[in-house]
Amino acid sequence: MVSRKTHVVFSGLLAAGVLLLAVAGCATQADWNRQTLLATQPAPPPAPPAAGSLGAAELWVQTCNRCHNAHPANTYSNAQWQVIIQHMRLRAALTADDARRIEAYLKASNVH
Amino acid sequence: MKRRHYFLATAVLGCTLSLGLARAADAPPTVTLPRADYEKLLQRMDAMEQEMAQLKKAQKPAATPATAADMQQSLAETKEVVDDLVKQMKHVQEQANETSVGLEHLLIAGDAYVEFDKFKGHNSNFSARFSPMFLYQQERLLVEAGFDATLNADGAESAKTTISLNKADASYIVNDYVTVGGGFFPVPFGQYHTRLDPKWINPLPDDPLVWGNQAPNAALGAFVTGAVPVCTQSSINYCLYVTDGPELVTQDPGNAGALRFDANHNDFDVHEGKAYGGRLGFVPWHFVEVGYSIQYGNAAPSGMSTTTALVQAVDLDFTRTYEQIAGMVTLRADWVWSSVQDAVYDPTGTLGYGPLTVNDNNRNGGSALLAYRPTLSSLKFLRDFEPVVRYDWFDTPLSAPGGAHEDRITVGLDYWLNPRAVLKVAYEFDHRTPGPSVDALMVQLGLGL
Repeated sequence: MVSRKTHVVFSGLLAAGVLLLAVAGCATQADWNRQTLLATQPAPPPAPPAAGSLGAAELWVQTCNRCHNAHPANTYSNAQWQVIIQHMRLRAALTADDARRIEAYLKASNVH
Repeated sequence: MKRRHYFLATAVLGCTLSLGLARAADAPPTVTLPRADYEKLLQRMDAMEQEMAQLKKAQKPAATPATAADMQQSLAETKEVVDDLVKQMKHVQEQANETSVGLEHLLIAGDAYVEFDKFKGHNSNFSARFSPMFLYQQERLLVEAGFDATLNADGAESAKTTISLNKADASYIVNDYVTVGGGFFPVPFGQYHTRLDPKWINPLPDDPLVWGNQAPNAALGAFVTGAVPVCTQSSINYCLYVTDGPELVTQDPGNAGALRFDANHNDFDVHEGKAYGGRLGFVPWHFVEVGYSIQYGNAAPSGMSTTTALVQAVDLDFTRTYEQIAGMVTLRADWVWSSVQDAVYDPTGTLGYGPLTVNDNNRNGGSALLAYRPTLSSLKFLRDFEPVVRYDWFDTPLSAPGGAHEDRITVGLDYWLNPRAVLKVAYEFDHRTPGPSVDALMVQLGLGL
């Protein structure tokens, strides 16, 4: 017998999943092929910081340290950093540009 | 005269002989060699002369500037080839990392702790919690799921293990400024429960009073969030959400009128009313963020007439390293206040404590935390210590059941074993009116996974 709480949790997840897939489908249909092609290309070098903005290393330290100790680049593999940065972009409300610059810096500094 | 001639002739002869003998003594001794050896020596001398001529010939071009340039060019070409190889290897490694499927995009993180605490007037207590978090990312999609497995061996009761879901949500990045998601997620109300409550992040072992009592933590619903840069270093972030919302406590006579936010609670009522809320954050520089949060909705459980609850909060998070004080300062502060519509509890008296009318059901609480870590100290052993002090309070209206004022001052000393492992020792001075006040000693090892 499935408990009511479990039912509620999975109903919520299902509803959220349907909503997400609908939005995702609309957003990505047009450029799917382009994205697939781009995925096979090497990532472009990160754009240089705008005048007055922080360097990538300082951005990484200040942004991460605001909540917790900044982790060294070799804590995770490059693929794992990709996951972590998306998680942190969601939880810590990072701007897309800051998230990209921090990710590029960590990957470039990674000795994994 | 003839005698004089003999004498002179003898003297001249004597001198000549003397000179001849002297010259013979200075000259090297004569060595006699067989002809064959002499020929060999001549041949060896010829060979040595030829070798010397060749050596001179070989050395002569190295000294010329034109050949040095050639060598430099050769070195530069070799370096270019090596650099190119390294670049290609790195590119192949990146491609292998980023295009691989399966476990590469699944990450297990989370946190854990082990704690010993002694509350005044109670038995000492050991507890432990393991909170793994599973993250799965597929391009713009991120799925998060996590649970808390807690073992609490309370001396006053029996030891018990509880397992509860703490998140199970999915989100999708629509563009640089919008991310949508839903499921069971940490409610973005204030910063504490979304970012600061894991035990390896919170510098003290326990939660501030208000975040454990009267503020949203995790709920079922959907959200839209994002961040927009406004200047070179500043940005604004936002989050809007709709959730099942809190529930007013009506069954517990000692706590009627309080808001319950814990969707994992066994008798949590999922009622028709939803809660609508959001947070607006401002990051003027990357080391500081301030925010305002609001949540509004019907909190009445099934069977009770609509009773709305409005909860608001302001928060501040500041962490910066100053060379002048050779270390990093962390300042965190928040204030949460709630207002629940006037209501009559247990109107028919069936629960045994009503009818009870509670007016002005306004509650508020907050906390301020200051920590300092001498990360730039010349004394290496000091760099991993972090003294912490926190003041927190929570006010419940005295006219409501369980009404009280409670405030605490907690002092602690942390020792960082590594960036994700911290040993904390803290003492809490509690002041509650009406009492009893319960001071506490806490020792905790917090780990980030």
